[in-house]
Amino acid sequence: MSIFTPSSNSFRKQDPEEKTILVTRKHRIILFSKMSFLGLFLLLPFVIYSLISSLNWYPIISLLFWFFVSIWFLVLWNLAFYSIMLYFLNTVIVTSQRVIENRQEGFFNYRANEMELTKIQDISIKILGSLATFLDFGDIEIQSAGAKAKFYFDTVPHPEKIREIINEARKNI
Amino acid sequence: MINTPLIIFSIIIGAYLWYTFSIVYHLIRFGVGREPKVLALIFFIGSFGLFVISLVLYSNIDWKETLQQLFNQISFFGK
Repeated sequence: MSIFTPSSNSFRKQDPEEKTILVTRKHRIILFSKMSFLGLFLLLPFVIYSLISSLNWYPIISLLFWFFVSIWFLVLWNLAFYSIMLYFLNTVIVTSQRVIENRQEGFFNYRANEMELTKIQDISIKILGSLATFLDFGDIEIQSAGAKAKFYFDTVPHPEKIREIINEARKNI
Repeated sequence: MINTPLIIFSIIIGAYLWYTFSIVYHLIRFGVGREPKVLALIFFIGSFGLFVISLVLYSNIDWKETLQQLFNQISFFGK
């Protein structure tokens, strides 16, 4: 039952002395837009039902129809959770030592980039548009002196706060 | 003798199980924090529930009779 208790936000390849300060993902509006799109497909069987239920041969296929509806819902459920999985596995983690970007683009398509806090030179944020301003999301760009010169996280929530947290972590090294 | 419907059914079930396992595994193994683990549980319960519903509906259908009546209906429209 440990999944129902607060987590320490541990992650793969975490150093023993490394402390997780922040875990963030893209803004929920991204997930919401995907789910809304799938939600439209959820209504499709009911639209078809309203069209065919009054036909005289509907009783012949009613069981067959509801069987295919259940398959349809099962497929949508799986597709929805595939999107949810990708959303939850694409994270930006700020620790006491580094900033890590996890990119999961499929079951077997994973990439992780990291930047040490000591190598960060500049953090800039971009909030473009009324929706981004209203919902408080935007892009963060981190300039570094390291091999990977730039980090770019798009549509993250509360970019201003994230910048403050990273700056605070840099001061506390 | 090769039982084609059984092979197709096995492939579909195999793909479904692999897909379900992959989602649950990724959320539990690589998810950071509590939320992905809870979502993996919700997904598993929902997926299992829908699978059982599909199976019950499948077993309730008299396939031979239904398809026969459906073909009769289609041929009636074709005349």
